[in-house]
Order: sequence, then structure tokens, then C-alpha cells
Amino acid sequence: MGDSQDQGVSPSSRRAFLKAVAAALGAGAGLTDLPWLSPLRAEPVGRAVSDRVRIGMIGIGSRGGLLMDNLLQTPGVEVAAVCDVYPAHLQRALAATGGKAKAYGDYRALLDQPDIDAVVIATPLHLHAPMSLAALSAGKSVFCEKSLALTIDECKAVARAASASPHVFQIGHQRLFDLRFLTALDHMRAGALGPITQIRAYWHRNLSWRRPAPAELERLINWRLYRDRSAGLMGELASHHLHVINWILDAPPISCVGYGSINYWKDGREVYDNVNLVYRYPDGVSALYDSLSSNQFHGMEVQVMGPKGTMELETGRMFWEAQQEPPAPQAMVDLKKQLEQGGAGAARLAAPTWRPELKSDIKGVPILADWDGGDGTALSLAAFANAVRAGQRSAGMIDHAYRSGVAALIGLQAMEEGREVAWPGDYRA
Amino acid sequence: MQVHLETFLAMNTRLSVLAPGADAVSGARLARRVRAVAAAQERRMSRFRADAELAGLNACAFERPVRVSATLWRILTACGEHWRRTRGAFDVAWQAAADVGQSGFSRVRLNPDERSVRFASPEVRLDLGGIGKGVALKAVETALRRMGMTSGLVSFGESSILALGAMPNGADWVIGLAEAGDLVNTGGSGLSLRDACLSTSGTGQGAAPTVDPRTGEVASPERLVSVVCRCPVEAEVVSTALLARPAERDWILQQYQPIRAIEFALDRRGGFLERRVAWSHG
Repeated sequence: MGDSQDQGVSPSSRRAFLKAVAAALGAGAGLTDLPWLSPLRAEPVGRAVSDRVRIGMIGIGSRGGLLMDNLLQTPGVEVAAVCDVYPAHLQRALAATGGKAKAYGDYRALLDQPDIDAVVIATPLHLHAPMSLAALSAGKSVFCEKSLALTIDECKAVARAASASPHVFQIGHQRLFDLRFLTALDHMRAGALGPITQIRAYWHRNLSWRRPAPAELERLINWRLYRDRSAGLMGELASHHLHVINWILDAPPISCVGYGSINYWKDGREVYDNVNLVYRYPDGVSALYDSLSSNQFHGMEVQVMGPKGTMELETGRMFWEAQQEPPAPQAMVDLKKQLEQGGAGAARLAAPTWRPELKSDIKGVPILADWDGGDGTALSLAAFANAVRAGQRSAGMIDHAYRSGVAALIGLQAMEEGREVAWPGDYRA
Repeated sequence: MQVHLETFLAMNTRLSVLAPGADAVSGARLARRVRAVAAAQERRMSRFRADAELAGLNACAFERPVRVSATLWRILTACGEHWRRTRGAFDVAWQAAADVGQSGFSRVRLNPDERSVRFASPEVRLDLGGIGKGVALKAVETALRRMGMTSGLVSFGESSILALGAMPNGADWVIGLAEAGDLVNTGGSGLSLRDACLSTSGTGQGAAPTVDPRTGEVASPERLVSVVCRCPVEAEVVSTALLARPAERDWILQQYQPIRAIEFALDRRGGFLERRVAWSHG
């Protein structure tokens, strides 16, 4: 491990971090199959040089920058190297490390740096597979942003390499560490919804993704719009929710049908600006997913439904299906008290017919009453750092990465080919 | 004095039973009986429950005559009678009046010999929402009286309120509008009830709209009609009819004497909403 101090982790940040760790472990306490949380149970890291994990950042754009900011606040982590092909990103990242990190324009040179323990890859989707494979081959642990890869074959190749590697591989699905999702899953496993019969998820935005770029940098900067670099909405957004759906149902989809088009942002892009899919899961359960780039009214949500109720995971609320006994009209309650005390008076009771609350009216109950706003990103990076430090591979993580990445891609394939696409099988086969 | 109050869901709304003098055990027994009566009524009159008799009738009565139970037959013949008495303002087959000018119930064929019902056109559907709570409340009243209850209040979704006897101190039950800030706004001191039923129709929040079956127009949400009479069924029929077709008010009231009725209008004064009595009768 490295030889320099933590980069700017204050005692208060450290305390807040440890508190968040304790909360995550508490939320997942009822679940026995969350091995990726186990690195968080490690003893608090000391200041010894040998405790420090040295990380190289590959891709330091918007998401990569956010991950790096979190890593700089993670005890026992040193961002020792940064890499980006875009000089402005590189300079900003270098400055954030106080100039202590080594800067690279080529990720292969970063991988050649022997004292780097692990890399965080936050690059365009088409680079995830080659970079992950190269990093694992170079003996580095890998934290790869979602989605796993651009093609199904690449997903299989990365998953196989990660399985064969003695090093840690983690995918950037922060919801695995989000207290709301952990608590909700705990309730679901305890039967709060009954058997899950359908999941609906959506992610709607009103933005084009296009950024101003000179012609020679168009595909570099606007990579999300081009099919040879991006899976569009499926890779950038849907993979998050498909991951959650696979996690909840504890299975990958059996098959998928869908329809997508470019119906609004007709600006030369090659990826759909709206997608609409139905995934078939075991036991007759279906998952519906849609995503728009031209309307954000409904925002984003994952709705898990069963005969006992509905959970909305992004807003963290539970709606009971079975009607509870309704409240008595207040005027009747008041009249009862008056009669009990020997008095009597008028009751303001008459009104048009009272109706039980409708979905649109009810607020539900919070799944996690004292959520601190954290989305799991900080904890996911801490778990990764701890796993690297302990040399402890994150069991189950490769399956999460593979299932979500491939689910996104069979959805894309179903839309592009206009047919039902079956699950392509396990990467181990 | 012990007073038992129990509220539960029934017929897609809430039903509250207030029983002065009842302890927890006897009050719960009364409430259980009311639940059972209401549940039986729902199984008969719901158009939403697949197992309800009315839902089955709606599904098949255009294709073939459907024989119905004696109880539903009595309800449907009563609906026909009220349809005639209100000159069509009360119409449980209003959905058939999508063609403006057509009368809904005129397309419902009742065959007393076979106790069967048939619809004359495919779009006819029966909706007992404008009478069902009254029918159920009448059954509840019968059940409670058989159990010896002589004083009590039963609120069915607050739009149908049955007063059994008088209050324990001998005075009438007095009911005002739930939304009114001052009982004066409900026509003095509220509506007094003794062995009577108060039915209120309006298009308040969450309430189903009341539609004029002849024109298809939805009653203004700013109108609210309350009717007091002895029979829960007639109270509900008349309040529904008066809200649906105000122009027939005099005729309708004349048909159901003795009856009290008030219409409340919603005034907007200086940014505040206030109910005022638009007219009253009886």
C-alpha cells in the first residue's frame, strides 16, 4: 500500500462516515445475502501507511469527478494517479489531489504504475470492457462505473476475467449501498408486499445529453449519442433500475420485448431518445420499464407491487394495498365525547360521500424514516477500498454487474431487432 | 354515559355507528351486525365487484334476459318508480344517455313474470350509486331496531346520515355541513333529525360526479343539496335528483312530501369561500 497521508479527511468527516457505515450495516442486518456489505464491517482504518489504498482514477468527467470527490473523503484512501484524455478534466483532478497524484493521458501508462492498488473506471461505455480487462490483467482491483460493457460478449469477457482474478471487482451500482433500498429489500424479504407480482420502473428527463463540441471532438464529448460508444438510455439510466429489479427478484430476466425510437431529439444521434420495454421474469412476473428524454413530469421511480402493497424505492415510500380501517369522522368523535359527558350539540357531519384515499392522494409511509440523503455512492467506494485493503473479493458483485449490464443490452437488442430476445445465459457457461 | 363509536369501510366509503348507552361488548355486537348487513348489500349492488349480482347483470343483460334475486328486483323496480316520479332526473341507467335526449331507464326492460332484466341497447349499465347507500341504510335501520336500538346515529360516508330516535337527552340530533365554518351557514342551526335520514349530494373532493341523465352535464361542484325525510332511500333519491336537474325542483319536491330540502351555494367573497343557503323547502 502507499506512503502518504489521507487526502483531506477531517475528523468530523471521518465520524460522519463511520456513522453512515453503521447505519448501512444496521439496514442490512436482516438480510443474510449482502456479502458486498461485509467489507464495511472491517475495523476502522488507522493512519498507518500500510492501511492506505492507492487508487488510480481513469476518466474524471462528471461522474468520475464525483467518485473522486467521494474517495478524497474516504478514510484510508489515496488518489495516487489520475487519467483522462481531456486536459481540462485532468488538470482539475490533479488540483483536487493537491498536485500529489501522477497525471496520465493514457490509461495503460497508469496501469503500469506498480504502486497503484486499484483503479476506478468512469469512462464512456465502449471503454469499460477493454479498460477493465487490462486493469485486471495488470493485477489491479477494479471499480467500474455502470453499465458493465457495450456488448454482451464483452460483458461475459469481463465477468469471466473478474471471476478468475484474485483481485476485487466492483460495479458502480450505488443502490446496493443505499439505505432506502437495503431497508426496502429487508421488508420485501419479510413479506411486506406478499409475493412480488410486477415491478414498474421509469426514468424520464427533459434534456438532450448533447454538449457543445467542435467537430473533431464530437464523438469524444457527445459519446452518449453514438451507438458505437453508447447504449443510450439503456446503458446510462435503465441499467440502474434493471439492476434493482434483478436484485429484488433475485434472478435475471428470461426475455425482453420493447420498442424505441427517436421521436424528439432528431439531431443526428444514433441512440433512442425514448425506450419502452417489458421484461419477463420467472414465476410469471413482469417488469415494465420506460424512459423519455423529452418530458420529466414523472421523474424517476421503481415501483414494486404485490398483493399487500406497493413500494416506491426512489422516494422511499410504502403504500399499503389492504385498506386499513378508515378514521371515524371527526364530528362523530366530538359528538361521542359530548354524549359521554352528558351533553349534546350539533355535529358538522354532512358532506358529499367520503371516499377512501386514492393513489394520487395518499402520501404513503416512509420506508426509512431518518434517511440522511445519501445515495450509497460514498459507502460503495468505502466498501471497495476496504475490500481492496483486505484482499477480500466482493461475493455476488460480478453477478450484479453482469445481470444488469446484459439486461440493458438485451432490451436494446429487442428494440433494435423488433423481436423478443432471450437471456443469453450465464457468463460461466 | 357509555357511547360506542365504530367506523369501518363499506361500499367504497366509510360507515360509522354511534350507539349511546352501549358498552364495548354490546356496541361491537351492533357494529358487527351493521358490517354484515352492509357487506350483503355490497355483494348485491356493487358494479365493481366481479362477484356482485349487479355486476353480473350489467355484463349480460343486453345479450339475454337476466333473472335477478327478489331483493335486487325490489331495488330495480323502486329505481324505475323513482325514475318516473322525478321525470327521469333520478336515473340509475344514466350512462345509456350518452345520446343526449335519450332517457336511460327507458332502455331497461323489467319483466315481472320472470323477474328478469334486459337492456335494450348495448351501452346500458346500471349504477346504483345514487340510491345504494339509502337502500343499505334502510336495511341497517331495520337490523338495529330489531336489536333493540332506539337512539343512535349512523353515518354512511357522511352523505347519508340516519338518526334513530332522539338523542339520549330527548332532543333532536342536529347535523350541519362538515365544511361550513359556522352552523348558521347551514340554514340557522343545522338540520334537526329524529327518526329521519339526511342525504347530501354534491360533487365534493373525491366524490363521484352527479350527471343530468338528459343532457350529460355534470352538476356544478359549487352546489350541494341536503334532503331530510323519513326514508333513507327517498332522501338519497331526491338529493341526487335535485342536484342533477335543478329545473325540476318544484315537481320533485311535490312528489315526495313531507320533505325538507336545502341547497347550498358556494360564494366567493374577498377570496374566501362560504356556503350560503340558495333555497330551502319544508
